[in-house]
Amino acid sequence: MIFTNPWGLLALLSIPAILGLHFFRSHRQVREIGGLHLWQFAATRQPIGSRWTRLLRSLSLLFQLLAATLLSLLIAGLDFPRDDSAEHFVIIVDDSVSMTARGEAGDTPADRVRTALQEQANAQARFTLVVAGTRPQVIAGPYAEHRELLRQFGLWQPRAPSCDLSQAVQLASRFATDAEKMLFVTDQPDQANEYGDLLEVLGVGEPLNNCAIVFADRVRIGPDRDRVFVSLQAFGREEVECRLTLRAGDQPLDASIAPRRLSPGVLDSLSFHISVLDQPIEISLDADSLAADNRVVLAPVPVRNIRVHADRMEPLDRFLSRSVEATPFAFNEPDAQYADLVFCRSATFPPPLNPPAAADTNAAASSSPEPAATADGPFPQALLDQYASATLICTVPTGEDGAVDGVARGLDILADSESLITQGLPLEEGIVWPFRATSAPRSCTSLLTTANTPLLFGGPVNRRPTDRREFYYLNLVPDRTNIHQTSLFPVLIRNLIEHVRRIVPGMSRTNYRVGEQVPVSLELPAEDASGTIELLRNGELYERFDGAANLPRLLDDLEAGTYQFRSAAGRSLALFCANFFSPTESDLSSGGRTSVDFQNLDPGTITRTTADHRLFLVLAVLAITFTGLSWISQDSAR
Amino acid sequence: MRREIQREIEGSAHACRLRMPERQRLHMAGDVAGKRTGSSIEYQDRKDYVPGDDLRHVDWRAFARTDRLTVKLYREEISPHLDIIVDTSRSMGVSPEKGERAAQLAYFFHLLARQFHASTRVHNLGASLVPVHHPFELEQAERIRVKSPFPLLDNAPAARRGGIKVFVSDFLFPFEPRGLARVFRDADHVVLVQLLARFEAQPEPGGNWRLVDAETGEYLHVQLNHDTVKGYGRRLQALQDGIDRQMRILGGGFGIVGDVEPWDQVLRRLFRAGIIEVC
Repeated sequence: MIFTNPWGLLALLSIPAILGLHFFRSHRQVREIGGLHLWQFAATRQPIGSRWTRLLRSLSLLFQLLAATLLSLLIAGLDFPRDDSAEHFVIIVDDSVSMTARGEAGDTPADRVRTALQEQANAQARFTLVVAGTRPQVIAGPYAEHRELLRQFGLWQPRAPSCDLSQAVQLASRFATDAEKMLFVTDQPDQANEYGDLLEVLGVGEPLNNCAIVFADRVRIGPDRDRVFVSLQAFGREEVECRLTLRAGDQPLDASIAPRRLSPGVLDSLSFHISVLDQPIEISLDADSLAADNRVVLAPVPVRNIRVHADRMEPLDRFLSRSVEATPFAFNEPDAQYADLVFCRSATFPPPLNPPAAADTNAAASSSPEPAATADGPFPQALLDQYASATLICTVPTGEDGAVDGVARGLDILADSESLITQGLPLEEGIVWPFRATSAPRSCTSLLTTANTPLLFGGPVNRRPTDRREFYYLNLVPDRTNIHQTSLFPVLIRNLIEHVRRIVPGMSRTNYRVGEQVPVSLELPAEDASGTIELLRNGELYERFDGAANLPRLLDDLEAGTYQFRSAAGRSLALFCANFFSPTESDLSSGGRTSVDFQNLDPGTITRTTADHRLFLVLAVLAITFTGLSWISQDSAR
Repeated sequence: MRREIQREIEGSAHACRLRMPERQRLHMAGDVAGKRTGSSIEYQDRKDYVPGDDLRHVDWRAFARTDRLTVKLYREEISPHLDIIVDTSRSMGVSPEKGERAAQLAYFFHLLARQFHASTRVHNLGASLVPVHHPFELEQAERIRVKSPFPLLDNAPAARRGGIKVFVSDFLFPFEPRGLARVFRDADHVVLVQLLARFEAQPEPGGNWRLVDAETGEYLHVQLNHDTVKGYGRRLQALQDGIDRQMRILGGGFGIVGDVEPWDQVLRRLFRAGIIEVC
């Protein structure tokens, strides 16, 4: 009952209104007449006493007040709490794909769960149903009725790539009483061994042979060829023969893949070339116990050519050019304004790396090592305008003042192992001649250092939020280092190019594993950016986004399928696939059955407070009765 | 009484006359010719003599000619007397207009009586039945509580003896209409005028009222709604029907007038009730 309910509050006003009506009703006008005996029939009974006393004794007022109070309470949403106690079962169900494996009898573990719950679960009990997938979820309840439990089970389809039992147990424990043992229903009962005290396990699986595609990918290896990698694995006890089928759209692809005999547990990888570049290809195995791992779809590989420009980089430019040529889908760009990646010399290296004046050397060394901010950021605007298309600008100091601080030869070069740019780059074999031996500014990210001297560091990004450009500083004296002559220099350049490839707009990958997060980066024409963007799954609408600004940065929990971003005008913006690869789920050999008798389960007892509708009805009837009585009592008073 | 209404009454009295009674039991011969045979000198008819006829009226000349005894019949000559009895009890003063209207009615009947040279006496029926010199004096009459005026009328000569009786009252005291016949048993002609205040004639629904009886001081709490007003109307109508029935038996007239309605409306009501007629 909430009297903050506006209708209830309004209804309460009827009580003073009734009181007022009765109060003023008892005020009578006086008239002297002849022939009073002619009015005798109409005389009303009038209680004796003062007006208030008469008011308090008025039966009709009493009934009307009671009726108004009850009606106000009913309108205000009066509910009478009633304590109901019932047996309570917490059920955790394995939500992984293996629950859809079809056994020899033609039924799946999911079907067996439904049958078991339908037949055994107490219809009077309450249930909390938690599905254990990648992330646990309560799909019925808490404390749902039996009918609701079965309804939710009817809608449930196992589709998670894995079963995270620990998280599910943690979630389900919130609803279970202390002494209550939760029921875990799974096709692989062995995984619940460590929860022996907490869980009662109902195994609904059976050991099955299964052949699965456990990995597949597609890479662009040339302007007219893709290479497809596929890994197959057989699970079970027997050697099985697997036959791969390839299709591109509706057409079968002739890739000349012979049937393969797979021994249990042995991983069989193969690769082949295809010339179909612009459409997804489908790789499938013959039907077996588990359908989910028999088919993958690989989307076309996105082509993202990176153009590299070297500006006044002698004597490094020759080595730079060769490194670019050695990197797939990267090209040397003679025109600076069209380049995605620019190597250049800059006179405005961020302080305190700038050569300080002789007089204030000590002052510069002791001051806060922050780059000097210009109106547009630490990088001069003129340079930014010059490299209009550049996504990454890598700069080395000009050295025009001739000031060189020292040589780092013989010192260990430390690489940031987290960064993809420095992957496989100890650079130990080269002579490193840093321009200035001092620490990097605080807002910079050091990727390569020797002692305290940063050699490669990411600069502070431009302050304008719309500017996606990144700046990297190579703190080397080009004339005095031989690092470009080392074999690892092309690796550094390739890493930088791949980094650019990752940050330019557009999908960097197109084939994902189910459960993997998909980063969303679309290169949208201006006319599509403000309109509705649809995400289709297997050709059907999956989600709709209102404008590019509302696109998520990451897509999570995608089911297996082919996804497509489509603009309002129907233009395809991006295509990618999510495929099911999970050897643990594909391995059905350990499936087993255990039985649980619901009658022997020790359920918890819950006491729930619910609204008592019977009392509500009684009150409503009373209110109507009081209304009638007030009318009768008023009528009889005449 | 206001001069305007007084003139209006006097004007209307010239245009109307009281409907005369068929019989008159006055001992004294008057100036008005009656409808029956009597002792006037105006010849009306003749008839054969039967024993008991007045021998003074035997037409001896005709007997000489025809040898038959015939008797001359002469038109009756009456000299009427009008008693105007006005109820001045407290209930007749529930509104100032009601008291005034009672005096107006008395004055009107007084003027009508003068038209046919009838002797008139106006009686104030209050604590007792006392004659007044002029109807206007009724306006200043003291209003006292009288439960029923009938006991005063029962033995009063004004009511008992013959002649025309005009009784103006509201008749809103408890009584049995058949008692009217007893009270006015000796009257030659009876005119009853029921004078009602507006509320008494037609109460409007609405509100809760304490109704106080003007005569007894008793009161009732009444909620005036359509039902109660209708019930009162039925009871008042029954009372009026009862009085009317008795007046028909007595050969008298019964009219109902209101205290605030215009005088011409009062005249129309009296005319429709057969109390007055146009000259």
